[in-house]
Amino acid sequence: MTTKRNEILLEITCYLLVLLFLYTGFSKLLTQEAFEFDLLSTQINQFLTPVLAVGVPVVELLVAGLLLITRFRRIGLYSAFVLMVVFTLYVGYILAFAGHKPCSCGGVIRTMSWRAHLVFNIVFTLIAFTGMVLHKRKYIVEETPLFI
Amino acid sequence: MKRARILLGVLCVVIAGAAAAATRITTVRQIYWYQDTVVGACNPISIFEECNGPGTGCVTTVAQHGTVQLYDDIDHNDQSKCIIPLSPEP
Repeated sequence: MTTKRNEILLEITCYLLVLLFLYTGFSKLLTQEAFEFDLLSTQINQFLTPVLAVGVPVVELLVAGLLLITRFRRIGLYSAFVLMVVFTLYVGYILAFAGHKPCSCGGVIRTMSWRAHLVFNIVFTLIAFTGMVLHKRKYIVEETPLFI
Repeated sequence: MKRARILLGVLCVVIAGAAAAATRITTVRQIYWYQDTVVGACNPISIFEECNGPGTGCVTTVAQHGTVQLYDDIDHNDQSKCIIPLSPEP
């Protein structure tokens, strides 16, 4: 019963992350110049900006793809968690240290306040972490032989 | 089960893509304007001059990247609605 519940929870977790990464990835690609402009306004190295402008949404779409394919789900969950931690640290840094606060986020997320954005990111980091734990548990259950 | 997963995946792509496209307009409209005012002309040079003023934080990015043109699609005919993204702070 618990295993079934965990599996359902894992599915929900994965699809939430898929929707988030697909949405933000597409949004960034659709408003790519705006995204690049926002990145330029941050203190990120200007030479890195064009790479990040394309790289970030591509990585987001890639992670979504990994999460959708069951075989690559584990690496997808780990990547999603790392990505969310990086985004959360970025938002935290901007909130704490940056005077000028450019929002280089995708879609409606850019309309959030920075505090709301931080909370949003933390929630999704926890979701990714939960997914990792659930996936690991599932893997252990599947690998453990019934009779030793 | 496999077919259901594929269907669900496709559905996610469609929903996310449609949502991104739909909110793109919103995003563009909510790009924050130069010192809370609409820039009066679409001429990139004049915008650049305005942007390049002290303390605006815009520096040369508008001139370098022609970001102004990006937002022409808000309203092609009304040049008074030409805006530039400077700061996300409302």
